[in-house]
Amino acid sequence: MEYIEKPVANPTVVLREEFDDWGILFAPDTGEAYGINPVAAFIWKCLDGAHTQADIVRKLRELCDDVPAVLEDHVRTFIQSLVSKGLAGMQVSPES
Amino acid sequence: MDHSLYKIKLTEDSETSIICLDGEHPWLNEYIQEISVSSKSTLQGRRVFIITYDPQRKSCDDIIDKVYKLTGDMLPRSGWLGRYAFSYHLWRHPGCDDLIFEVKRDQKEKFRNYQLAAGLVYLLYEAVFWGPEQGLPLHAACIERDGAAFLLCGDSGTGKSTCCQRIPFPWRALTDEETLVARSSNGGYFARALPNLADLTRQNTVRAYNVPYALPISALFFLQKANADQLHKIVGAEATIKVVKAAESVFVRYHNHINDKISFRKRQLENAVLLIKSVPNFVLSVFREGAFWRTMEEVTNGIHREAGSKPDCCLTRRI
Repeated sequence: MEYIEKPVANPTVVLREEFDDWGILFAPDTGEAYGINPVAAFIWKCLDGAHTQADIVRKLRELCDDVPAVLEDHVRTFIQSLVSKGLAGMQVSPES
Repeated sequence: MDHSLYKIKLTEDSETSIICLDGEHPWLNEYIQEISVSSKSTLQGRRVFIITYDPQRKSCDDIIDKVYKLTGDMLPRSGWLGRYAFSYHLWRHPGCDDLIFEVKRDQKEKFRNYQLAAGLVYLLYEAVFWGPEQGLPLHAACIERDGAAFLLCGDSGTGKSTCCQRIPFPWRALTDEETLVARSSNGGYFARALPNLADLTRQNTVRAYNVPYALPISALFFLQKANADQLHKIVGAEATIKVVKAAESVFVRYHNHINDKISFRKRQLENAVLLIKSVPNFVLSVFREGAFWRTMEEVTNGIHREAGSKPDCCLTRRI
């Protein structure tokens, strides 16, 4: 059976976006806070367990102009860094 | 009268009465002197009842009886939740704001005084932190010029103390270590210099901090060492994260007092966001042989202290 991974945000982590520029990802269980740009905030909102990494890349290409060719690498690296910091995890389910 | 009472009002809205139920507690006198407050004969606001720890005590009943005798108020007889530190027990009750602070008297004086003062300071911070002022204690030096406060935030080793020593008149350093910031009723933020708790353990300290003295904050500067004096403005997320870190480096000392750390940290972020929306923030790169204050003056010349009423602060008289 094939499995697919869908990134999912840690539900305890808070995203605050009231600033004009960057948002803040805040993990209240550790007190860690990270500044994220608007694209990263968009990706964060897609970490709902319903989107694969490829889905997120596709949505970003639809949303943004002048998307670099390396977008997929950037998205993967960003999600990996979220996972390594405990801000997100991977939901694994059988491919339908 | 076998009790003493102090009233500490760090901000307009946070008023804490400290009541010693069994006579003098020298560590408290020492701390009170250091923060330049004294006592007053009212029992309004949040109350902290201080009593000597008794290992034979099986319940809070005798404390509650003493409180009743003194104030006429009956505290709950059960449901108190204890927090234990080396030098004291702190009792809270979910149904009442009052606190019971049981103090051990049989330990080495210097260390005990430090711990007890730390416990008390946390209680004072807590009232401002959760109150309408949404205040934060920051690991920051506070310097004054023309009636306005400028905060130099930074971890140990970034040069806060050095900057305070070097800054010339008419600048004046109020503290090189810890500053309480809190919102006033007109929306502006005020700073109060707080003593470094380590001062309490020093034998020769003669310094007293005029905690009631509050100044409107004109700007926050986040220090970093550099080869040239430089300054750039920061906003939004970057500034908020720096404020959260400056607060966390104070609160880290008090983590064993905090019951719900998640709610606490969410509030910390909330308070930081409000602060940075009201006060301009800068990263200040400081060269050790430079004149960093001139760099500050370039930007602060355009910042004027916010008009508004001075906050009503602190009080004292002994009964």
